[in-house]
Amino acid sequence: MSEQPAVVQNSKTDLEGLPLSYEFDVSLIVVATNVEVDIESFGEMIDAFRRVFHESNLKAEFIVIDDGIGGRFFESLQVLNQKIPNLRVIRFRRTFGESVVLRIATERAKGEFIITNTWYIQVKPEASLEVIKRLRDGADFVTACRHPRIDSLIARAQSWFFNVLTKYLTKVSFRDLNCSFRGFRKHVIDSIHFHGDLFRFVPVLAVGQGFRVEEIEVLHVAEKGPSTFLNVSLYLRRFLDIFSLFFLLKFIRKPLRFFGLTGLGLFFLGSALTGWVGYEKIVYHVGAVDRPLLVLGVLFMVLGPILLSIGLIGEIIIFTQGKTLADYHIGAILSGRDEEEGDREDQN
Amino acid sequence: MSIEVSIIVPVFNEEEALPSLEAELAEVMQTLPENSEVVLVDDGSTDGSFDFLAQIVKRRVWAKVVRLKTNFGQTQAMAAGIDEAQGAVLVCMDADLQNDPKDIPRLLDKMDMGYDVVSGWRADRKDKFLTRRLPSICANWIIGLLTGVRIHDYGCSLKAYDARIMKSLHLYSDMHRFLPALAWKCGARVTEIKVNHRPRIYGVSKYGLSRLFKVIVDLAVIKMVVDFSSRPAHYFGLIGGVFFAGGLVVAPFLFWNMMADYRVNIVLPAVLILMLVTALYFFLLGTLGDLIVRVGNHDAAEYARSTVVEIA
Repeated sequence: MSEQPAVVQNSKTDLEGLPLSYEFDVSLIVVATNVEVDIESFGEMIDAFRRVFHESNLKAEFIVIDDGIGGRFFESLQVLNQKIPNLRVIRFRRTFGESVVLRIATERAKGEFIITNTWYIQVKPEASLEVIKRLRDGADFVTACRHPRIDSLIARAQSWFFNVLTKYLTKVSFRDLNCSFRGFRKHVIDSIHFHGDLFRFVPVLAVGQGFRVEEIEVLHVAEKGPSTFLNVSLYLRRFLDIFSLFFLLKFIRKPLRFFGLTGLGLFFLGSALTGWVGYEKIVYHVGAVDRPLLVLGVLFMVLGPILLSIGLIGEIIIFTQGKTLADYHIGAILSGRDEEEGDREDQN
Repeated sequence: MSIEVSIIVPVFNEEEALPSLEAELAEVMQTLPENSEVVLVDDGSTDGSFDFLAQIVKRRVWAKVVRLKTNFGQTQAMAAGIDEAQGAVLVCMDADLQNDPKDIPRLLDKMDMGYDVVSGWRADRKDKFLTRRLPSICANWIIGLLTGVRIHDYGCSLKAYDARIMKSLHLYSDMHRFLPALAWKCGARVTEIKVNHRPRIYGVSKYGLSRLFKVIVDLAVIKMVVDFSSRPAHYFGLIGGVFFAGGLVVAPFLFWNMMADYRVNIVLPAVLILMLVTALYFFLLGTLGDLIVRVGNHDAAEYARSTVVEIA
């Protein structure tokens, strides 16, 4: 039903089932999906972060994901790979999208904490120290809020709009979900399902699964993202994402409740309209057949059961195959028998 | 070493009740088979419950604590307990001490008599009549009527189950209340015994009167999903049939109108087409439902298979 929790109280893991020692303190993951990635800015970014980690005595590795760009970009990454120690390049043969490649990169990361960033210096690299501090203090996920923002007013307005919509629909509030600069522990990504463009909303999903998510303010240094209006299809996709997020969080376990109640409402409305037409026909002898109201009433009476049945199909899917859905997440397992065995080992 | 009995106790902010619970469980554990366990599921308590549970684990061999990351709800806590429990018989109970752990051996005796689910019945309830007992009586009557499993006290948490049935069910939403009825659908033999009920001493009740409406909605959902997922094409086909019949009712009127006047009003044909399209929609949806149920790993025969006795 949920993913298998690692056995706790075993010498290699701590209370949360995580390994006790890591090869690196931090893994910095950069996903490059844009063809216009400028390799020089990229090198500068890696250098800046390397300096910051080095000064704080943090062992860091860098993972660059070439999400199907290839060509010259991949060649220059290979050159960087020679120059910079602990820089790994993961190349995908075609573009799989940030949700997929982020998951795969996280699986392969060897650091205790994982930080994601854009391919250029978007925020002050020193912010990563604050992220690590928060993670050390027990946060599972740290999101950043670029503040004060320096990008165009249009970009800020769009960003504000989507953040407010998300907040309104999901009741989880973050100020800047579009910021790629984030820090988290590996197990958060492992236990959350996200696909398509939903990687943006991982903090929201993480809150829904009971993880501790914190937001910090970071200094906005540069912005190379889109500064004009997003195009229509992107707007539509973003809307659909937020709505599917809303369903994921609220109704994935009870589709019939949502569709069923709406469907029943529609059905009763339709019945009332049809009944009214029938009443007038019988009492006042108004012809029923030539009244559009009758069509509307019958339409609602039909739409109601259709909605309900869609919810029912959803519920059947959850009921019959929901065993693979994670309905809960285990934080720790303690067992009296393990304690006893532990004592015995101590005595030997 | 296989475990015989697992007692599953969801705990949510029951700090004050836990010391007595530990003492009472310790007493009962002495009378149970030696290889039994108690799975205490901490459902994201915000008081000191988890710290106390961690201490219990240090003192008691039989204790196992499963801590959930946050408050997921009673059904999910029970599901976690059921998934982590290793016993052949699972006994569920509340942590609030209103159930008496001393009843557990009697539940187990009844299980030994060949039942798969033994439900507790708080015959002598120590709650307020108007706000707690009356809604409960109504709820139990409705659940019994609709599911066909007439036991007196669905709301009683103290129940014993065959682990095979419980592990084959997907527990989600607020299903835990209907477990006896669900198990019965899977072919379990269900019975009940009277159990002791004590007034609440610690903490506050997490339920209220508004529960009755919620129970009815939950019940409608469960009833529909259990019936439909057993034979989707059949049930969706029935609904489709109703719309088809509606179309058949409209058709003669249309025909009669057409006989009377060549220029027929559009409303009747529109309604007829709508009815027929909807009927088709439901027939197709039923097929889709059949596909989903067949693809799923949900095997209705799974439990039946394990209970087969063949005489050669």
